[in-house]
Amino acid sequence: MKAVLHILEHDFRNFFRYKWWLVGLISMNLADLFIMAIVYNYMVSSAVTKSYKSYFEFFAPGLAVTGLFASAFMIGREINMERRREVHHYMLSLPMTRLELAIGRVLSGGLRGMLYMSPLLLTCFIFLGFPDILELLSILAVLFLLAIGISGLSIAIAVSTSSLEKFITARGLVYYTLFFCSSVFYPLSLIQQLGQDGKFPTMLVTLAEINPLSGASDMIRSFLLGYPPFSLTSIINVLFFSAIFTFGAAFAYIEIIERK
Amino acid sequence: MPAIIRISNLTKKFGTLAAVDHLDLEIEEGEILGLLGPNGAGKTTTILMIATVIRPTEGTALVGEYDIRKHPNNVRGLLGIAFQEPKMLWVSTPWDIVNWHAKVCELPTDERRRRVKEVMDALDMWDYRRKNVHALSGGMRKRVEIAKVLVQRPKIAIVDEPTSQIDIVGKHKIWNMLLELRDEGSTIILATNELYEADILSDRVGIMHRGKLLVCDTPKKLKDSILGGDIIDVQFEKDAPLKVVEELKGFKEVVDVMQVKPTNLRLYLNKVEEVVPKIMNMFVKKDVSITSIRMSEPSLDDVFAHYTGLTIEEAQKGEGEP
Amino acid sequence: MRAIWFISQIALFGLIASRMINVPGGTLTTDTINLAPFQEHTFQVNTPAHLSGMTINLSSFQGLGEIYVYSPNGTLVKSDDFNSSANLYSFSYDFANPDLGIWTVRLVANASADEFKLYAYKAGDYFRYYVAGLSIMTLYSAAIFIGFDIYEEAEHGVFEYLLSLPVSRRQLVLGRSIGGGLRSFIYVGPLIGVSLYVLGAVNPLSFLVSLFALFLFSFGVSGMSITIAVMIKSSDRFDILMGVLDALIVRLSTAMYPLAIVQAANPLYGGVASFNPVTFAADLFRWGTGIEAIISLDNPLLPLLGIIAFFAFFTFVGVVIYDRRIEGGGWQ
Repeated sequence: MKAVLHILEHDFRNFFRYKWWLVGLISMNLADLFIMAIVYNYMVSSAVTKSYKSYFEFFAPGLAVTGLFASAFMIGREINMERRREVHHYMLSLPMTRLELAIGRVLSGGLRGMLYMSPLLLTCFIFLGFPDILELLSILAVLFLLAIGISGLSIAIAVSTSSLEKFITARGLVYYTLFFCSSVFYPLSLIQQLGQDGKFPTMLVTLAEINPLSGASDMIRSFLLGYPPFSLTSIINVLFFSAIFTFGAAFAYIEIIERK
Repeated sequence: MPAIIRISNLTKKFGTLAAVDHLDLEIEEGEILGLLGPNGAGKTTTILMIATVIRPTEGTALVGEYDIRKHPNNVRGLLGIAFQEPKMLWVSTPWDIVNWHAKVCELPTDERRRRVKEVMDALDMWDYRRKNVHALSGGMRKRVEIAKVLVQRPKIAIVDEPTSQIDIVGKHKIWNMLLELRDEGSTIILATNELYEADILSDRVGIMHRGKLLVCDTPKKLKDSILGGDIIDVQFEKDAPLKVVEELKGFKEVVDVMQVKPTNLRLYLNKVEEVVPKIMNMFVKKDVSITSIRMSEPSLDDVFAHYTGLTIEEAQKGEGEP
Repeated sequence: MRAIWFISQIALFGLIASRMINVPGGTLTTDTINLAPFQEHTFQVNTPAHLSGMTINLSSFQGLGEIYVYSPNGTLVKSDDFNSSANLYSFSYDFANPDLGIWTVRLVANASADEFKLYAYKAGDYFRYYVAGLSIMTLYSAAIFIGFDIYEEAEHGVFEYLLSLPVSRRQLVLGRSIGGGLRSFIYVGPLIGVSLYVLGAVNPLSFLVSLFALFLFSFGVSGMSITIAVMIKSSDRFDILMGVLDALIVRLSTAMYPLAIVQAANPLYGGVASFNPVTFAADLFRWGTGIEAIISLDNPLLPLLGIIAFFAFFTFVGVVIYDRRIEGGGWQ
């Protein structure tokens, strides 16, 4: 356990050293909420306004999830860089088990995501209203599971790709597909409607439905805005995603990182 | 002293290339073992296997009582390693790196703080402790790397080219600190291709070439193993008498005598430190006047050349660490 | 990575978002109308019958009320009652096939509305609108990259080497700005090609004009990036500034939404967007590619002059700084 805490300390300290990246991400998130979402208020059709008062209200929970996604995903980039520069040799030489090292990395990626996301979530609560204690605990639990799942996914990509180019390509494909094929920016019903109209591939509609980002965003909306209705299925999706990628990543990290 | 590391048939292959080829070696507790060889000899690969960073293809090693294959976690508990290339993210600071390393190695808080300050002061790094590694020179980064091991003071320290990129004053400081570490009871494996460093620090030197350990012994014995490796140049006041030449050839340690000039003789011999007094006595008895006498011993480069047929520089051409 | 971002933006965000975003196909009335309690207001639908909806935004309104929309034949097509204590109430109505003629909007309330605007929309245009803006966003982020290259060169001493060459400072900064802009243009070229395929046929002359403007835009952005990089001489601060600038400059422009909407949302935002070179570039590109003039711009001369001024300013500033102030060393 102590070893895991040391790894958490190491990764958290490095997280705050990337000041420039954090400032850029914060600026983008705040600009998305206080500029883009406000302007979109004036442009959205009844597809959004029939269920939500404004696009701003719709988007705010999604923004918290995107912040968590972006910051939890970052651990993969660091691990890939460590591998390319052989800094991982140092991590492997430390007096701790491989499992402690792997769990530490997955956990730190997820917790960093939670830390970064918390002011965005608080902003969401300020504008949309605070949930009751049970809802708050549910939100935090689901977001934590999502965060470690994302961290695990990112680590799995990082250790599976040998060159920088392959890593960037794989990361981009996964990142943007999950990011845009979800209900973060638009209601899931819209994507489903597009699928029914034959204007969107069924596979992507299914992806949007099972996407844990959709599940997490819609869960927050259901608690704070009353819509969409709470869905246990989407929470189970988050759970499965988290389980698969947390443990999968840990084992991939252990197996692949020792290879030369 | 008993052996603390026993390496048995240790092999690492990358494809068909054997980077380390059936290595057998025992390292005694409390000694500094120098691993000498050109780039690509297999020193770093050997070290990485002992440190359980990479897995051997064949063979194993016992570190303390632990097998590197079966109990790697316990092995790492005994070791501290300073890598050839500093392993650190450029956003970190020296303080973060060294302090965190000490925490992971479970130094008590007060002891940790004291040691970190002491070592960083000794390596002239204290004023740079809060600077990003990115902004440091190569030599400073190397000091950060070695500082980790010097703070940790492990039972077995592995240092891979500890003073590369470091200035001469810094080199001497680090050498002294490594000797102190040895005197405190640590066993040190020193991988290097700097001959002088290997010569002055090592209790024993193992010479590696193309993955194989060619020889391992004390530096003195290695030099003495070269027949006629020591050289004496004698400058006479007048032409060297023939009888003196014959008498010199009569010494059993003298392998050959060469007349460079009528007044200058070059002797190829072993154990120069034992033979010189005998030769001087002979000159005095024979009333032979000499104007100067110059002695030299073989270097470890000569030893390497003796065993491989190449100097280290020649061996380094076209080699590269796998 | 940028290509993946671009394609995913078109194929996912653009396609899906266009279903929920309406861009104005034309404003049926732009007057600020004060609605008194129980007042009716009528408006004329004279544009071709491809309108898809309208939005009525009431600002500075408080209290209870009802709103009714009647078609030209007097049929009540939609109504809503509201209880608004916020400063914004938004009412949307989607047309299936709107009848031409006099439409009526009736506001029944016990307070007045300070502002009443009507927009007619053409659904689906947002996709094309967005793709055009996306091309400009991509060009911007590619052109800004030259500044990061400067720091990489400084790290390896290449920057000082360039300063030691028998090349004037003026030539150096011009060469780098133009080189950076050209490079970004070549890099983004295939992506702009994809945009053109999506956007459809163009008027060659206006397209060439807009392409010329995009060249100047990318040179100007490169020049701006280089100038800031050598003035700041700190990679951390540069990264932070560029991150913030990127976040703001794109969102406070017409890359993603029309200027009229930005102004309606917040006059301050609209003010900034009006003078933003990304706005000039985006609107010119839309004009050049023939996206409805009514939502882009009537007169391309103003944004063209804006881009020329932007390019000239940063080229001039860059030259001055390079001539008088630039020296090697001191990088952080």
